[in-house]
Amino acid sequence: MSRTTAPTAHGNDRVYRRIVRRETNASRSGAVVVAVLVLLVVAAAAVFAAALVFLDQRALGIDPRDVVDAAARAPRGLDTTVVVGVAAIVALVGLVFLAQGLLPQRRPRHTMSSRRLAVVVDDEVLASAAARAARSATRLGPDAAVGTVGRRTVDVVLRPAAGVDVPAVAATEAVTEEFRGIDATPPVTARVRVQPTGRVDG
Amino acid sequence: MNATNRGLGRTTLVLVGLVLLAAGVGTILVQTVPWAARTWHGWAGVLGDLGRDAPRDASVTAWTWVLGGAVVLGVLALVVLTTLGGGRTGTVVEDDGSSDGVAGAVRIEAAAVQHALSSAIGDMPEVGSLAVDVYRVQGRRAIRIRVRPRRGASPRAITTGVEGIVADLDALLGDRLPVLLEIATGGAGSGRTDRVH
Repeated sequence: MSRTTAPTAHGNDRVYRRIVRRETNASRSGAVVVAVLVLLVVAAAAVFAAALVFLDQRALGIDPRDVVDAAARAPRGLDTTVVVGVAAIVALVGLVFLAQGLLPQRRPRHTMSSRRLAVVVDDEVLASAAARAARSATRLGPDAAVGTVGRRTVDVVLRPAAGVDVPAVAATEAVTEEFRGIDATPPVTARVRVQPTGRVDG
Repeated sequence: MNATNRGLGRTTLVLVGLVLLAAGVGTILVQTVPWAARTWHGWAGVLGDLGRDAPRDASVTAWTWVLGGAVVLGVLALVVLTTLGGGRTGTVVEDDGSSDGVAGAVRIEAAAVQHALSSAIGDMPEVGSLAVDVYRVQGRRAIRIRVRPRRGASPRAITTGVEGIVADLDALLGDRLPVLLEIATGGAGSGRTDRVH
């Protein structure tokens, strides 16, 4: 998030930039925990194998030294299906970790301008505010407006009862006005559609 | 906004991902492509001391290296694990007033600020429920206010209201602490519409 509206509190800009960046990007801690667990399992297996060799023991009838020999001789004496299958799973898991580490992941959130605070808003809250604004301009029932918020757009779909005339322009203005007040970053543009097929229950 | 070191976490993910991907793809190649198998046999001589035919001394030395490497790897993994989370703190302001030369120190607990903000913000009609926490960010204390608004509430109205309350808090504390307002969905009260229409 390089272009957040930097809130203008004294000396808090740097802290705010960091907070807002961390709050608008997804945390990877779940994936990190899984990756670390994989590392720990591998490390524990290696320690166990080394201990077996030092004590000249076998576990489940397998000597770690035989495993190393078999790996060094590959592909002789190994079942291709099993090896390729396991290796494919390992490669896939690695690919998932790599994607988690490299790809940007945004949370569905916007930031709002404020003179004092750093503000982040869930897109769902924006959507429901948009629906409420459109509804209040049209005097429709509470379930007649549905809002969806993308990164740069807000879509409101009005579903009036059959035969009810909806002032779509007034609704659009109301939503636009609401979002001018919200002043979200990245900026969102409002679009109101009236669903032509009216409902009967209205 | 916790103290998780995200750079370290992502570096770990990339490294583990690369190693697993390389190991998986390499194994598939060795198993299916003849030239890859020949290359592998060229390298596999390194593994000789780990094998069954190695003399006892060489075998112990080689497996000691494996043991050492595994212990280092495990310790590194645990270090990464300990960097996750944390950062919450119990005090908001700690000031010994040295600039004025007056004896004594002032310490304001996080609970005081939490209670003050919770009762003030909870009275706003747009707010369904809220939580207040104090974190350490870049060596400073920062307050996180997580508000779950009622359905259809205007985020601007909430922000303006909280700005006013935080201004009061600033006057009370005599310091402008960084404050994050997080307007989130879900939780108690968010399904109901405004109390005021």
